Formats: sequence, structure tokens, C-alpha cells
Amino acid sequence: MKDSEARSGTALTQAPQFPRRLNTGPAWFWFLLPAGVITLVFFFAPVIITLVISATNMSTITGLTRWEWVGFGNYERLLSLPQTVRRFWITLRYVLFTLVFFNVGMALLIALITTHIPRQLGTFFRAVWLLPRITPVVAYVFMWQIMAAAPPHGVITSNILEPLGGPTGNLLPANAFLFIVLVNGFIGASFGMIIFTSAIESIRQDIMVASLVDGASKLQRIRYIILPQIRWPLLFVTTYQTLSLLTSYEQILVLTGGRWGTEVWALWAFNVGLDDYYGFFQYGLGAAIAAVLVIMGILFALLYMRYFRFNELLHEPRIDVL
Amino acid sequence: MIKRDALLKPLPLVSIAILSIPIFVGYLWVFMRTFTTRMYGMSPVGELTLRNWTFIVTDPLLWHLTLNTFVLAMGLTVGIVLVSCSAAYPLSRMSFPGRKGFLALTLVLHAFPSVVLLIAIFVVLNYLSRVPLIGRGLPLIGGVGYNTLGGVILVSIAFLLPLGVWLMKGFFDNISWDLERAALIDGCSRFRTWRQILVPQIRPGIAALGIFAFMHGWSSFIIPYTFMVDQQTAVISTYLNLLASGEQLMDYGVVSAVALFQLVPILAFYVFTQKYLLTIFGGGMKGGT
Amino acid sequence: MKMELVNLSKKFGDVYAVKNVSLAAEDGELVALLGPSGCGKTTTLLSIAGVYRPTEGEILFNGLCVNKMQPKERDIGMVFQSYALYPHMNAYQNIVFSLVLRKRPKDEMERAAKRVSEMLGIGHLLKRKAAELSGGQQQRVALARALIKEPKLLLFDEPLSNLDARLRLSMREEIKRLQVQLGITSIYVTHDQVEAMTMADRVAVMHDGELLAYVPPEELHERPRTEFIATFIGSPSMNLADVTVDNTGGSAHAVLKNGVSVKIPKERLPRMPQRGNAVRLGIRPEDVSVVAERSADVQARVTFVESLGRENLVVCDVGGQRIQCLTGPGQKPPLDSTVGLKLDMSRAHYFDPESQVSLLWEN
Repeated sequence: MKDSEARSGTALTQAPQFPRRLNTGPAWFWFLLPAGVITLVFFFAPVIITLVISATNMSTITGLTRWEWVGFGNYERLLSLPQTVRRFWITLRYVLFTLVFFNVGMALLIALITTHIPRQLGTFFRAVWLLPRITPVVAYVFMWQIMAAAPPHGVITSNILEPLGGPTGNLLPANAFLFIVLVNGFIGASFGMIIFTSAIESIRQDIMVASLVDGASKLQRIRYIILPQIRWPLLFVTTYQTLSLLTSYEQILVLTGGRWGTEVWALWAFNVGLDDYYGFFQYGLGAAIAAVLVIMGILFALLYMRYFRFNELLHEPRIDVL
Repeated sequence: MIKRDALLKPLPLVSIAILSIPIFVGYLWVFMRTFTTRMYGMSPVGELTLRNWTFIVTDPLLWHLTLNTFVLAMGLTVGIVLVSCSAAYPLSRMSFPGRKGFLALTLVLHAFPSVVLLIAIFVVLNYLSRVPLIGRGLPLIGGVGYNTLGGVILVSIAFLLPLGVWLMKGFFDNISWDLERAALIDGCSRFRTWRQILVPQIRPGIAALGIFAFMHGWSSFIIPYTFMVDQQTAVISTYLNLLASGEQLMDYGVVSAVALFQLVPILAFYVFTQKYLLTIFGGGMKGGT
Repeated sequence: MKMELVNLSKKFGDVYAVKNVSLAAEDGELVALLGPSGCGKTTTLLSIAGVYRPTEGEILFNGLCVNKMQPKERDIGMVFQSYALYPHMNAYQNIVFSLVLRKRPKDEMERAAKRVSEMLGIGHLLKRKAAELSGGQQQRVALARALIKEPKLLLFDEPLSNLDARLRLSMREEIKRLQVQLGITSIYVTHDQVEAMTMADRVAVMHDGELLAYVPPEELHERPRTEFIATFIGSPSMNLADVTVDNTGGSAHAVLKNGVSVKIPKERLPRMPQRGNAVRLGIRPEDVSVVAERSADVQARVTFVESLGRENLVVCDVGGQRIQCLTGPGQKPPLDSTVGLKLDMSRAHYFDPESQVSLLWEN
């Protein structure tokens, strides 16, 4: 590289190669295109379509072509239906019970226990509690159907109730509400469990030790150190899971299909719009029922924007090249 | 005092063991039932048998459904990884107008209850079916419209996309800026930097998202159940649902075997990939905690 | 290649990271950008690299504006503080990556890699991944990666600050040797004044995004133009004391707050500030000596003594004014004792207390 002088001497003649630029548009556009199209087609359009369909009488009879506008007709029908109030209360009870006892309560309990027993056992039990979430829903619900089944097959009936002389027969119809709470609860607990566990484990170790040195018992430490420290995750899980429960119906659909007083709002929309037993799908009415949840979803989602402390998550890019 | 402490010490362990009983019992029952002819509660009655297993593995329909399920899971995995990785890169590392808006949108959709949109998506897929070429008649996935595997894959990708983009963005955020600068100075375009320098750095993230997506696709029920009406194109989940809620008396042994057949790959997967998966369940919510 | 910055500014949001910086690096020169962290020196460097787009001003390579050029079009090599080796490639792949992107033939790549790796003594490490190399080795690979394209301009972003003290010293020499040997114009960002002073042909001192001085290293130390530079350069840093200049009756004196006055040699007499005769006197610790009380300029009380090995740092109190001085190894006065201090006023500096500009040296 002794020719450096010569090189810099000729540099002037080399330098003015102005960047040739193919007219392909900025890179970010192409990177975002697939996600953008999918978002447009499967989120934006459906939200609008839901609202539009809810103003029509579209059903399997009218098909997708011969429908008519009914304005707020579907919503008025909703208000006049006697089921509406019943569905509303069922949904509310279902969300409340599952949330309190499992998605938050059980989740917190398991997170606390698994962080207070030997590490490997804690990991093991958390893995066990994650199982329901990763198990295919039909297989999972099938297990619960077995639990509830009539003797001699059912586990609860033949192993617990029969020896005690309790009621026998399939438990599901009579206790359907209890079972939808249990089925959803055992899945729902794991979400909070993981968030809480990581929150507890990220509490500074010196504080944890200091509190014990100060003479707190383990229970007092939970009360005065841990719970105040995970206040924010608690709030987050509560709100997030409220929305999830409001709009989830997969497990209920498989377990009862909505029979025996378990047709929650979201399932109702599904059943009316897409899963009628006799094949009479009322898209219009179903969309109106769903629209109520869509609106709620949007409101909740906006709420998260505040909770998530969005601006803190935003790092300014430190490269200007496009 | 000492005695009370000694009694209290095993309390947490005992209580969590008791709380977990329903889970253990459920899985144990299914496992045992596949190898017996009959079970009363938790006790096997009659002899041990492989009849349930031989019955299902010799059923050509099940293998066809397994292929479908696999295609669905793989399609979802590949699709979500590609789309998320590509979208997350500019969101994490480029400045352009609307970046903030797009990020906010991703976050909102993350919390958005997409399942309530199924009626509208039914209309969209119906429309897509009428698009020539891609709507119907593609090999393997059938197309991207209503009642095709491709359509189901596409909807599944859409539903998982906010999580995927957000997760991948987190991984991109953690790459050092100097690394990317070095690549740019060495002569890479930003596209090339992404492909050759950055994507190799986020392999753990890709693995986590991929594993999660595969498990998700393998177990997914509601989307195939809603949008695939033929049994020919259905997947194991919908088939299992058909068996388990059939009008005729159900054969618990066969249902258990099918359930386990679907469950085993997932469980094996889960055992080996648990560590990664925990990052995703927690990581997708990062910033929230 | 000659590199010029003309009124370069870079804003992030509403904040100026770099403000109106103009300087020129002549062909083959090594220019150090020196300043505390957050002073805008790295932003300047990254603007030269093309990673950042200047908000205002121009960057000229041999008189040609490169503002709109992509980094890859600028023909530059860069060495980063974190080395920024591609973790999934081995050392060889790292070094030749830029040639791969330019689709050079394989044998040419191998020859070039052989040449630079021998130059840097890393020929035996080429098959290792970045993680399997020590910090010093990574730094050499990073240097090789920057040199292999025979760039017209080399950029260094605090390349030595992640190395341990001994390695830093030898790498410093080596980088300087290579730079001189190859004659490549270089810009070297550092917060370490010793690095800047020993390596650079000229030093650009930056503070809060502004360029305070752009001079050869000796001048920076001997003729500081502002109070900031005077205190920033040199360790331990320069003593400052508010004094008034008494220029009555033939000879000039600097009068300290407690009334003690010290004679100012004629050839070192400062200009007077616009208002009044209050100035700030600056004197480096090495220009203050502990002497017998008879021949002393001022009496001082020792408040702190620290052994620096070869010399001692003695901190004194002169009527509420803190003065540091360096003494020889044998000279270690006890705490709280009273000592005499002699100030070498022929090496003193004076600054305007308001504008903080030197009253001795023209800007």
C-alpha cells in the first residue's frame, strides 16, 4: 500500500461517481408491505365490514348478494330480545368469577408458591400449569368432559362422588357454569403466573434479604414487600385478562356449545352468525352482537396504550440511512 | 414454635401439589385410557391393549388430516416468522413518517380481540375465493380463500401477527447499533444488512416465535373449524371435535388415542423448548411489566 | 484525501448534538475529536461516515459534497469502540466481508486478507469466531476489516477504551504507526486526552456540540484559548483563582482575594478584560512548587496529600483558595502544615471571567 499518495492523487477523478439509485422506493415500505396488507385485509377491513354487516339483514337466506339495509334494526332487535339481558349477566358472572379465582387469584397464588419452594420444583410446577395452555383445545376439553362424565367412566363421579353417596350422572348439564369457569381458569392462570413470576424474580435481591434481616416472616414479606412491588403487573394482568375473557369462547364452544346457560356474549355472536345448528346463519344479527365487543375491544386497546407507557418503548433509530 | 414451623414448611409444596391434581389426573387418564379397553374412573378395567392405537394409525383419514395439520402449522410458522421479521426491522431501526403510528397500531392490535371478527373475515375469505389463481386451486394449501388451507393459514398469521411483530421488534431493539453501522460502511444496503447481519443475530427470537407458532398452528381449532367445512380439508382438532361431540356413542378409547396423537408432538416440543417459550409468553408483554 | 466539514450541524428532535462545526483534515493527517461524553464527537464521526444525515452544513471529500451519499459509497473504513465484529462469522469472513459485497474474485480476497492480517499479526486467528477472540485480538480484526478495502478515510470511534491499560498503550502506538505508514487520512474520536495528544496531528476539542479549538496538540496544552480547554487538557487539571491585576507603579501584580500579590513577568502580561481589572488566573499544578517559606510567593496550609507514584499531589489552601501542586518524590509535606508555594508566573494563563476567553492568546 505504498501507493497511497498516488491513490489520493487520483481520488478526485474517482470520487464524483454520484450514487445511482434505482427508483424502488424506500426500504421501509417494502419491509412493512406484507404486514401492512395482512393488517389491512384481516383487521381493518373486518372491523369496518362487521359494522357494515351489522346494519344489514344478511343471512344464509339472503346470501352475500341479496341482502338489504336495515339500519339499526339489528341493534333494536338486540335490545328487545329477552336473551340479551340474560347473556349479559352470564358473561359478566363468567368473566368475574374466572378472573378473580383463576386468572388473577390462582395465578398470583402459584407465582408466590413457586417462587418460595426449591427452584427446580418451582420450574416444574410452572411447566405443569402451562400444559393446559399449550394443549390443543379439543383434547383439553375432552379431559374435562371425562372428569364430569357419568359413572362408571367419569373421574369425579366414580372416584369421589359415588363412594360418598353423592349425586351421580353427568355433572356437566347441572354444573355447566362451574365447569366453564374451571376449564377457562386452568388455562387462564398461566398467563398471570408467568407475568407475576418474572415480576417477583426481578425484585431486587437485596431488598428481599433485607426484609428478612429486618425480622419479617415470609408471609409478612409477601404482604409488605412483594405485593406492593408487583402492583403494576397485577393491574396489567387484570385488565388484559378481562378483555381476553370477554371475547374468548373457544373452550365453551367445545365444552357445551352454549347449552345449559353458558352462552356468553362472544359465543352468542359466533353461534348466531356462523354456527347455527340448523345452518341458518344470521350474519347481520351476529355482526351486531360482535360489534358490541369490537367497540369494547377498541376502547380497551386504547386503554393499554396508556398502560403500556408507549413512549418509553419507542427508541429513536440511530441510523439515518434509508 | 419449632413444631409449628416444621408443619408450615412443606405447606406451599403440598398446596400446589393439591391444586395441580386436576391437571395430572386429566393427562394421566387420557394416557391410560389409550392402552385399555375400558376404564371406570381412574381404574383400568379389562386388559391392556394397543387396539385404540392400531385403529387410528391404520385410518388413512387421520394421516391425511395429520398432513393438513402439519401444513397448517408449518405455513403459519414460516409465514409469521417472515412477515414479523420483515415488519419488525423498520419499526425497530429505521426512521420514517408513520413509524410511531404503525407501532401504536401493532400494540393496539396486540390487545384486540380478533376472534370477534370472524363473521367479517368469512366475508373477506369468500371474496378472496373468487380471485382467480390464488383463490382456489393452489397445490397443497388449496388457495387462500374460504374453505382452503391457505385461507386458514392466512387468517392464523394475521391473528398472531401483532404478537410476532412486537416480539421481533424487541429482539431487533437489542442488537448493537455499531454492528449495523459497520455493515453499512462495509457496503451493505439496509436490506442486505437485515438479511446477512441482523437476522442471524436474532435466531433465538426466531426460534421462539417459530416454536410458538408451530404449536399454535398444530392445536388451532376455531379458525379451521369456522372456515373449513369439508372434512377433507379439516385438521386433527376439528376431527377430534367431531369424534368427541358426535351424536353416536363415543368410543373413549379412540378419542383418547386421537387426542394423545395430537398432544404428544406438542408435549415433546414443549419439553425441549420450554426455555425459549417462557421468553415469548413473558416477552410478548415486555414493557407491560 | 482531504476531508472538510463546513458548518456541520446535526439535530435530534429539537436538540443540537453538533452545532456549526467547521474543520478540515488534510491528506494523511490524523485528527482527534476530543471531548467529554455527550459532546457530539461521535455524532460528528457518524455524520462523516454517512450513518447520520447532517441537518445543516456540508461534508466534503476532496472538495466534493458527500452529504447524500450512502455509507457504502463513501469509501471509508471504520473501527468501533465495541469492535462490532459480526458474531456469526469468523475473523476471515469478517475481514473480507466488504470485498464479498463488492463481488471481488476469491483469490484477490485471500491475498488482501493475508496482507492485512500479517500487517496486524492476526494471521493465525482467521478461523476463529469473534467470541473466541480476546478484546485486543477483536480490535485487530476490526482494524483489518477497516483496512482491507484500502479506504480513503479511516474513522475511529474510541477504539481503545474497552482495552486494558497496557494493551491500550501498545495499540495506540500500532494504530499511529499504521496510519503514518499507510498515509490514510483519519478521524479519531476519543475522550482520553493523552490518546488525543500523543496520536493526533491536530486535535479538535468539542464541548456541547460546538468546536472549541482545532490546533496541534502542543498548542492545546501551551496556548489554551478558553478556560474550558485549559482545565480539560492536562491532569491534574489547572488551578484557577480569581485575581485582580494591579498594573500601577512600573510592574504588574496579580492580587489574590486574601490580598497576597504575585508579580507578573512583563512578557506574560495579559490584555485587560473589557470591564474592570478582575481576571481569572490559571496555573498548572506542575508549575507550582513547594519551597522554603522565605522564597515563597504565598503561604499555604496543606489539606491533602496523595501519592501518584512518581510524584505527589499536594492540595493546599491559600486563604480559602484551593491550589493543587505536583512535588517530587521526596517532597511530601505533612497534613495541616504550613508551606510556601512558588508560582511559575512565566507559565501562567489568564482568562476573562465573563467570556472565559484567554487574555493571552488570540483566537
